[in-house]
Amino acid sequence: MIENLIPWMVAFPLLAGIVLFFISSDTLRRYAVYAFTAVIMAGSILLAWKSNQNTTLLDGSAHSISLAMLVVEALIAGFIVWVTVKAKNWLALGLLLTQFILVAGFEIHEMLKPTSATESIASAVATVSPWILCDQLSVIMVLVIGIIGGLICIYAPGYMKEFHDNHHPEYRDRRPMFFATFFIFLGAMFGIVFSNSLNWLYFFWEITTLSSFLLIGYKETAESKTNAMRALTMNLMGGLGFALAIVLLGNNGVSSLIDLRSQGSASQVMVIAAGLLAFAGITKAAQFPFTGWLRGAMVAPTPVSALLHSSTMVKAGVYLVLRLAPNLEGTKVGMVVALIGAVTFVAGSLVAICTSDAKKILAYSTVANLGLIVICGGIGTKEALWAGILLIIFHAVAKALLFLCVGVVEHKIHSRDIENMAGLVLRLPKLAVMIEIGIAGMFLAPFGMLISKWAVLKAIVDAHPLFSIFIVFGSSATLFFWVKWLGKLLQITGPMEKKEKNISGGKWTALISLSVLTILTCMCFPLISNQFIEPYIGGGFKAADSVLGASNLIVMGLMLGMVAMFPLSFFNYNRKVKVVDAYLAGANVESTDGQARFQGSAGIIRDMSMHNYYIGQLLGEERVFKTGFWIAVATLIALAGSFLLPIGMPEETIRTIAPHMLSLKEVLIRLAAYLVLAPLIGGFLAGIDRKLTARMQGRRGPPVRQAFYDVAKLWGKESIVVRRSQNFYILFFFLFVVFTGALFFCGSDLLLMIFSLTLAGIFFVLAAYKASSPYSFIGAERELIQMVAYEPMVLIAAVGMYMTTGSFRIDDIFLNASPANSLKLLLIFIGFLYILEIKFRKSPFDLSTSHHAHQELVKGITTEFSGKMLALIEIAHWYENVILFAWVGLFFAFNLWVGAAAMVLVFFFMIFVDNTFARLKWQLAIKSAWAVSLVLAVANLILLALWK
Amino acid sequence: MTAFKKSPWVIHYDASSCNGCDIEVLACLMPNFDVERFGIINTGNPKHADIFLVTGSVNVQNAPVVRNIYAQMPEPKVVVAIGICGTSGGIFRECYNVLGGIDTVIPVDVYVPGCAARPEAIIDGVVRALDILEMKHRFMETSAGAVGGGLMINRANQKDIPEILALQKIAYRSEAELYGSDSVPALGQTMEEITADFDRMIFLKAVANGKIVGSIRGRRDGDMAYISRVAVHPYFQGKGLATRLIKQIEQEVGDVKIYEAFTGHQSLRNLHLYEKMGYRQVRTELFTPTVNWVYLQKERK
Repeated sequence: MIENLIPWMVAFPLLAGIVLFFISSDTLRRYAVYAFTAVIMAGSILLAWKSNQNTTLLDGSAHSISLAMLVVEALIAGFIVWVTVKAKNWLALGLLLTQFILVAGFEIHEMLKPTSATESIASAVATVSPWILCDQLSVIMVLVIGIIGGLICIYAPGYMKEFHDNHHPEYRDRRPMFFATFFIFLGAMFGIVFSNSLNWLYFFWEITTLSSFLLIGYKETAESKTNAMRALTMNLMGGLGFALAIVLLGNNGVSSLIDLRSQGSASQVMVIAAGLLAFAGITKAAQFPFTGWLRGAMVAPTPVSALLHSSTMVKAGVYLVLRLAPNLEGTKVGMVVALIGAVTFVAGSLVAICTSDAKKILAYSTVANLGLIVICGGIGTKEALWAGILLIIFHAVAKALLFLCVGVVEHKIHSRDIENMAGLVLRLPKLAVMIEIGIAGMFLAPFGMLISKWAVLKAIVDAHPLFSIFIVFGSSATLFFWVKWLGKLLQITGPMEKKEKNISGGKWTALISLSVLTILTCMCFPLISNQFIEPYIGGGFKAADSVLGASNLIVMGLMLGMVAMFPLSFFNYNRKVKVVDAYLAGANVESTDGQARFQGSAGIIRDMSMHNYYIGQLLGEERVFKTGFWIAVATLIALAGSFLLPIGMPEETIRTIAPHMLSLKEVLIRLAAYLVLAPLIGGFLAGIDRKLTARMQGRRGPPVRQAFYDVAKLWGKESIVVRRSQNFYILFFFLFVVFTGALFFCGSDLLLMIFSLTLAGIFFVLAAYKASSPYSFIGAERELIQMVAYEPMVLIAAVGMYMTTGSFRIDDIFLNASPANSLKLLLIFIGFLYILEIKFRKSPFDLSTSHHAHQELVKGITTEFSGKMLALIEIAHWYENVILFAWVGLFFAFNLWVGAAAMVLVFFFMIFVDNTFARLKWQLAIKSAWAVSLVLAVANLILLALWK
Repeated sequence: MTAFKKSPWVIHYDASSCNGCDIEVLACLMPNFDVERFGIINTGNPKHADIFLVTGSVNVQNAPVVRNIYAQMPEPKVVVAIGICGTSGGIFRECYNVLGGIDTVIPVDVYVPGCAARPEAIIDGVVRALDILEMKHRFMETSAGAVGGGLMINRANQKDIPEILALQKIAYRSEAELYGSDSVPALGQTMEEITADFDRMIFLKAVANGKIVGSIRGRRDGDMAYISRVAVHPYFQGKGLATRLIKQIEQEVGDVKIYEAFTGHQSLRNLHLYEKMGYRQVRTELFTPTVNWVYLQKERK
């Protein structure tokens, strides 16, 4: 059964593609596409169902197939020669000819070998390793390609019809070629994931290169031709690496992935070959310095971008890198590969901040996430591999959904600029919800990508702690552009017309299925891990033990449950609240159409509008892009250089500590104490803060209980809102802050706690975005910038604690504390103090809102919240402050008194700084915070490495 | 003492002050006077504020700003007019562009005269405002439970007229926000006019805690009964009080065939309320270029 299914899965899309090429009727083609796609999807699922162990096939006719492939390869080469000569692209021509001669020569040589030797063909076949391989990783890839790719196919006909009929009649209608290439592409992808033989793999690899060339150049404009040619050239560079690897390995008797895997990193030749193959993977995965081609691929119609970015093409690259993990683990080559991934992750994320083009953001975030997967491959440990595979799955689903949504949005609002997506929740409500699901899947705790990122961080800290620096900075940058986008969708400043009509059934089917899939994969990931990923990694690897821990799974379940309650906000609409205009310094002008207006200078009435921060001056798309490019080039040169150096590093022993579980009773006691005491302590701290501040200014100041009076008063005030749903976000902010503290005081995972706190912060920011007032909007943007500024250091503090005590669990950190450990983290502690000032919103970092009488932004992020909601924000801050002080204490947990003294000293220090420094500009705030974090963290991590 | 007296947050607005009073307001926050001792914070944001400190007289240019800031403060709220210009217009009273004191655009609770008002006087004014703030808060809290049981609807007396007129001016402020204040006759009504009304119409009042929080009037003319001026204090709006008032007046006007009421065409809440009670729209009339009266009728069963 399975033996027949595998070749059929490869052949069917290829044949379907050929059939589609000859269908000229639009309707007929549409139904043919639906039918073929249904067959492919059914096939993928059937395959996943039937295969439960490694299947390898040794086909008797393999040699004749190889010969056929050689012929096709020659045809493809001929076509590319024609194209490159026509475009006078001599570099691509040279690359192509070199690799074709290498591979073809080698293959012919191999084919002639058995006859020239005295062995019979049969025995030769027996020693040759299987041609086809279908293990769990292949199955995962098949599911990703079959289902996600399939849904994109279902989406495509409707999109392409609209593309030609309504939007771009100027382009030549080449849909038969388009769909033919589309399906051939899918077939080739199946070929890649089933091939064990490197020659076969190379064959399919080249087909994807060719198809992407054709698809990117679909519009036949000058721009698309150039971009297509660039994609071709870059992929051919990778192809050359592949060809060299084939020859190198072939001469050493290795011709398949299984052979390569069994060789490990034992011999230098294997490592070099793995490096060459990884190089091919990196070009295909569009890592720096080869990112240019993927950026250029944006000119193609949306289904192509979705196909290239989410499920295929780039995934082929990372698939290969992950396959090489056993060869790269612990080697210098592996480290360089990981470094390229790391540079790509940071640079990709930073570039995405600077742009407002939705497709570009998606493209750069794709590149960044692939960087994360490449890091996993380069590190190559089991945990890293596990995280990498999980990343492939989550990224494919969520990213495909986002791409397709943006495609529809672009057709509806005639723009893919995020600035134009304001109020999408009213204009295109269903699509907005889907985009929200996609974005949540991409970065929000506790959804898919975040689980993987978390696992990556753990795996990396165990292997190369310094790499964690890249992860923490990159992921804080991703936070910025995703939240910004989310906020924009929610913002309403004027009348909105609902436009969600005339979206074809095929599109809806694809979009809804992907949304459901995103949610399902998030919920069922333990099952996926258990069924597919763990058996593939093998060797008794259990993610639940070594990466996640059962108690963390429970916590994540809780978080998911809480987030899932969010749609309940719709019930909030009937509540009686007074709706007033956003605060515009009293200059509001009454309007009847819903557009907010104000009276500007000289009595001119203007519409209110808001615009996001893009940190263009600070970063700049081109600047970051170029920097990333050159660093990656330098790294690649280092990769070449590293072949000359001795290879192999001592494997680090990974300390594992048995998860320490609390009894239910203890949990309840701690929770009760925390819930009651934290707001009390926090409230008094706020009061003491105000008293001390007054004394430093030569005043008497309010009573110490003042904070409680304030909250009690706010509780009795009337509820007024600008947007009815804004209060619900505040409620969730409050819930998650309280939850974060519960995690901390129940001794849960430190990283999980940080993610929960970030999630809380995101709800706060979204609330302010939702309020759609210019003051709260700027406050929200600044709050985001502050989050981006402090996030790396917060994570590094966690990493530092892990490295000294061997666990992320707060209880273990507490139990393993010692004076030596505290001393080892001195620099990180200083950095932590720096960002603590930001977290407490104290001068010089009280940018987003301030407790003092500073009024430049009115009240910044809290401007539009009053009454009970402002009281909740206040109480949430009390909880947050208590959590942060407790964390300060955790640095000195070896002795209760020392810990307490540290907390008191830090408290006074914070107030002292607050009263002696002027406020910084936000640019300086983020720059200085990152510089301090980077220098102190790197220095401390190096010291930690030396200390051992 | 409740928390309301211990945590008054103020917003300070300079309507057209010469800055004399403004500087004294800021002096209150400085170490010498340090009003934070009493929990007073200058928030600069109407949505966080309890007390509105306004200095200077109101002129044509800033009248809408004063009104906007006041509208954006959550209840309970208190207005303190500071300085002689704020209380009466002062020496600028006769200027061509000056409307007068703050109370020409929003209701003022405390007046602090002086040129400039001394910090001691301003602090004293704010402390007096605290009592009013607390009273308003208590009033607001009773409103939550009052509509069901503790609220009585009776015929009004001659001596209730000033209180009803004051209520009318508070209650119709939301209508004025819809149409602009010039277009709402209920706000412009004088004492003489309302007394004339009282002589020919039935007045009902709704009383909670000894204060009039709602009123309505009706007139019978043959088979027709004309209902007008439904006024409900903002704290009590949306709690079914208007429905009760209308039902009561329908009974009080006696044996008629048709009830008629009218409201502005943009007052969707009022229209909805009447339609829910069985009224149907019969005709519209142009009142001013911005307002059309919508007439509604209901037949007696």
